[in-house]
Amino acid sequence: MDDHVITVLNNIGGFSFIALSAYLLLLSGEISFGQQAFYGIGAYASGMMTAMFGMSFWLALPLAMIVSGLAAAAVGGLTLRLRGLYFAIATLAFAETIRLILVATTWQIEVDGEPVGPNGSEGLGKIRWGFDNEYEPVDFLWMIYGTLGIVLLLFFLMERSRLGSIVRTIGADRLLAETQGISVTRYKILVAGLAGALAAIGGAFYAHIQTTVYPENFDVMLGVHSLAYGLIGGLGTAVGPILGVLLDVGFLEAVEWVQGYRMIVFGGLVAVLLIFMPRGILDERRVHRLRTTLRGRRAEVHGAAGN
Amino acid sequence: MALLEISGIGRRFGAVEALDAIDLNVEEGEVFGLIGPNGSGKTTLFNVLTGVYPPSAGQIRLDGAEIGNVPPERIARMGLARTFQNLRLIPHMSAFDNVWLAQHRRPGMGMRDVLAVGGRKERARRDEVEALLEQTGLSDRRDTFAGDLPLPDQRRLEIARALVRQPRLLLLDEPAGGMTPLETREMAELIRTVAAPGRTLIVIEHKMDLIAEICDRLCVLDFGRKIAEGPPRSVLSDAKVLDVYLGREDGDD
Repeated sequence: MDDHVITVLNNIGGFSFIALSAYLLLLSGEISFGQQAFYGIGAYASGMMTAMFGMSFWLALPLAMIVSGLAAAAVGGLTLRLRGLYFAIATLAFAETIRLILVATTWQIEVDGEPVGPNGSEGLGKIRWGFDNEYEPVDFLWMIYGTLGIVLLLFFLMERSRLGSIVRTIGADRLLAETQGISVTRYKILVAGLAGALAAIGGAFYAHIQTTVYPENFDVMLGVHSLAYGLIGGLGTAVGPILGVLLDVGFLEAVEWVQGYRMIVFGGLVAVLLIFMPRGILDERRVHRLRTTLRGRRAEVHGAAGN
Repeated sequence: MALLEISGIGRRFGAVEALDAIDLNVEEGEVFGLIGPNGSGKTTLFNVLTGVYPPSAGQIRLDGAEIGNVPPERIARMGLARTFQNLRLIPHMSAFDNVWLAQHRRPGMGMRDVLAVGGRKERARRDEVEALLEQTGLSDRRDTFAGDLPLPDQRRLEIARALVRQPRLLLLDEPAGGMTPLETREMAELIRTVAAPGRTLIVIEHKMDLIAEICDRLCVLDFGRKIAEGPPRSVLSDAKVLDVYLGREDGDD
C-alpha cells in the first residue's frame, strides 16, 4: 500500500471513533456540536502521558479515555436540563472553551534536555512514542482498525442489550422512557461519558500519528463533520456513521474532481440526504428490513395496511 | 386497604383548576371506569397518578406508599403502567421491540440485566413478550413497524407494552378511541381477558356500552370535580350525569 492510501485509511479509522461518539448521542436524542472537545482531550491527554511522562501508548489510551469520559459525563450532567437547540449550543460553547483553554495553556517539563508539553497555540509536539518504537503508519493502521473492530463489536453488543433499546427509547420519547421506569438522567450522563471516551480514542491515535497537535485541530468543523457522519450514514446501526466517514473521507478525498470543492459537495450531500433520507442511508427501516430478510422471517415492514 | 387511595387531589394550570379535591379509592382486582366530558380532567388525573405532573394538593397512595411527588420512573417501578390516549409508540421500531423496550426496568431488574445479551433469563423474557403479542392478537405482526400498524393494532400494542411491565395497577386511556363498533367489542373482550387474573384497571373511555360492560365501578368527572361514583347502572342513570352527557355537546366519539 502506498503512503497516501495508508494516510486516508488511518483518517477514516480515526474519524470513525468521533463519528460513533456523535452517533451514540444522536441515538439518545441529543445533537452535540462539541464532540471535537473530547477528541482534543483524548489527543492532548494521551500525548502528554506518552511524551512528558514516558508512558506506553497502550496505558495512555485507556487513561485518556477515562479523563475524557469523566469530562464528558460532567458536561452531560451540567447540560441535563437543556434540550434540543439549547443543548447543541451549550456543547458548542463548551468545546470552544476547551479549545481556548488549550490555546492559553503552557506547561512544559524537561525530557531528555528538551522542553515538552502543551505550548499554547504552538500545540503539543514531540509525541514520539511511534518513532521511538519504530512504528510505521502501516502499524498504526493495524492498531486503529483492531481497536475499531473491538469498539464496533462492543457497540453491536450494546445495541442488542437492553442498554441499546433504553438509549433508543430515551432518544425517541423521553416521557415514554420515564413511564417505563427508566431513569433518564442517569442514562443521559452514562451516554455522554461513553461518547466522550469514544471520541478520545480517535484523538489519541491522531496525536500519535501526527506527533504534533494544535488546539485549532479541534475546531467546530470537526464536530460538525462527526455529527454529519451519523446523519448521512444512518441512525439504524453503528455501521451507519462509519459509512458516513467512508463517503466523506474515502470517496470525496479520493475523487480528483471533487478537490477544492469538497466542502461544497459534502454540504450538498448532507442537505440532499436529509431531505430524502431524514434518518440517513442505513436508517432503522432499512436495517430492520435487512435483518428480517437475513433472518429469513417474513418481513412485514410495508404490509399490514388496512386490517 | 384499597390498592389506590386518592385523597383531596388537586392540580392547577395557572388559573385553571384541572382537578379539584378528588377523592377516590380503587380496590385490588377492580376494573374502575373514569368518565366525563372532554376537558373534565380524566387524562390529567392519569398524568398526576403516573408522576408526569406533580399534584398541587392532596395525597396519592399506591398500596400504602405515597406517590404524590415521586418521579415518573420510580412510580413506574412501583408497579403502575399506562397506555396513552394519543399513542406513544416508537414508530420506527417493530411491534416486538416496542413491547421489549418497556420491560427494561421492570421491578427487580438491575444493571446486570441491562447489559446482558442473550442468556436463559433473557430468552424467558422474550417469550413473555411473544406471549403478550399473542394475547393481544399481534403475533403475526411482530416485525411490523409500530408506525405502520392500523390504529386498533396500535392501541392493542400499547396494552401489550403496558402489560409486559406486570403492573399492579394498569391505566388505560381511551383504549377504544377512534374504533368502529366491531373493533370496540374486540377491545372489550381483550380488556376482560387482561382483567381476568384479578388485575386492577382504571379505564378512561367515552364509549358507554364498553364502560358499562367491563367496569365494576365508575366515577364521573366534570370540570375537574367528581360528580358521581358507584356501580355503572346507578351512575349512568344518575340525573347529574345524564345532564352532563346529554345536556352538553360532546365533541369526541
